[in-house]
Amino acid sequence: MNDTLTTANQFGAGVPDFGTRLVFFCIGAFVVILGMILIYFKMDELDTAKDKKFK
Amino acid sequence: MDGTTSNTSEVKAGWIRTRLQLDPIQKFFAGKSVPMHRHSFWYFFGGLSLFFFIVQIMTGMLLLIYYSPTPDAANESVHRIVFQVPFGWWIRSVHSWSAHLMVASVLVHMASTFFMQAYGPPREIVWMSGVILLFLVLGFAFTGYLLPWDSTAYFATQIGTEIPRSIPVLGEIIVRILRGSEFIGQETLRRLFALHVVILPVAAFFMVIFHMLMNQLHGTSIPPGIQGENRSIAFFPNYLYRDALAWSAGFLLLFWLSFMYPVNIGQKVDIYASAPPGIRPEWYFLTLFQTLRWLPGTIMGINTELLVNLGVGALGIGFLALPLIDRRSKRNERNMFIRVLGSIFVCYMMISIIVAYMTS
Amino acid sequence: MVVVVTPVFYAVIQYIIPPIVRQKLFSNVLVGKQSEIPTDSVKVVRVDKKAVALVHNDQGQIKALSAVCTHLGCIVHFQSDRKVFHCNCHGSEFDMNGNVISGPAKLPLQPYKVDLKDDDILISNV
Repeated sequence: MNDTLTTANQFGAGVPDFGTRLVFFCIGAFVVILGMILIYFKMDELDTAKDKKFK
Repeated sequence: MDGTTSNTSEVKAGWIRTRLQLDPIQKFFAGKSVPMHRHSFWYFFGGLSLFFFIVQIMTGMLLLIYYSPTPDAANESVHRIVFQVPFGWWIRSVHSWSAHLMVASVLVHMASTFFMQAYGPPREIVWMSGVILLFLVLGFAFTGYLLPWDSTAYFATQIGTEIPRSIPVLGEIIVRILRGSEFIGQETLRRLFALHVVILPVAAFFMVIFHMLMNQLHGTSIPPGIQGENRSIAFFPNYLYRDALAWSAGFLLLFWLSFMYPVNIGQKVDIYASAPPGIRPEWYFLTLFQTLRWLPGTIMGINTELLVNLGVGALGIGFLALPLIDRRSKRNERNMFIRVLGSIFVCYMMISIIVAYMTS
Repeated sequence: MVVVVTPVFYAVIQYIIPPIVRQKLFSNVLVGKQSEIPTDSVKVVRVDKKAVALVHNDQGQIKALSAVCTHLGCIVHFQSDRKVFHCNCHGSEFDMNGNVISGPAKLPLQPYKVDLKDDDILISNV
């Protein structure tokens, strides 16, 4: 990656350094993964309910 | 207290359901089921393509607020987005990476549909609308590439718009239509901007709606030879939850790429300077690029660009007409000849992309 | 219906196809001085929105060649160590007279007419 790309001059404007970007990613990934877990449990609940219905 | 709260929620939900007429819609989706077998994983790529398309629309609208489509200001406006607008660098990175992921998921979706022979009757129109969508997506990629107005963008467009010139009779006109004049300049930028931001999105929007509607009406096909595995799940809401997981995974990948590999912006092009060394198109056009490099200037006295133009045209028509060509699909039988041809094409694509990366 | 749609369709097609802008002819345009270009070297100048390579060959002749590759229109650059014009797009190469050496290009670089008046280099595309 080109060094000239990293020129953060204030919070939010300009590309931040690697560490800041990693923090942003980790926060976002945490939220997304949490959402995925919730979706998975809801999906499992629906599938189980369907299986019980037909037993 | 709990009874009151749930009653209020039900009243609110009922208000919305009645005014938006959601019940018939829910009934329509509830009737559809999705077959589950060992190849069902590939079904997610259609939804992923839609997801990345939505991301492109949203980030595209945001970029439009700051972008200026003139040769004097285009590059500067993109620089401003990246270096001055808060999180502009991230919005632009998401737009750029999502473009790559959208093309990739569309190609995988098309390949999986091809190899599963899901274009058989009565789904011929679904396939054809999908092929048109592929052309539109590649059109998006081509038109959007010039907009930053840097060296790579300029010369890639120079080459891409020059290739059709070898077509007899219509070639010159096609080049002029694409460029807006004889040379790449303000008219070209204006045209490609209009295509990228209005004409192609409108066309793609209606084609996506049509494609999805046809898919809902005809249901998901089962590949030949797998009819024995007769398990299926309801599209709404069971399959949609699985789709949501796939979309979340796609979003996570996009997050990773956009944050950890932000996209650079080159300097404004000097149209009198030579093309930068090692210039090449993006990976989805590399097969065409590498094919032109491998072939000599003329073959049996015929201009190679003309042959390549004819070849690409024939390939496009072949893809569109595939359901009509493959008679075995009409009887729901495996067609090994078509599959082998497809495999050879996929292998050729991958080899040409790898060679192009290694040698340029 | 057809009577109405056809002329509208024709008008729209004519609208989309841009008008032809004829190439401007110029004559005796001053582009540089002989003394500015050492022997066996090249200088690229801009003339009428085009890149033109002024070549001073080892026989002392001054030539003017279009720097636009005849393959797919990229601008070539002169490699002074190898004394060739090289196109970065697809690898076409041309000698100092503009003739194709290798690569997918089929036509030589377009020459311009050169007139020398004292030290001045004047070119024309008439």
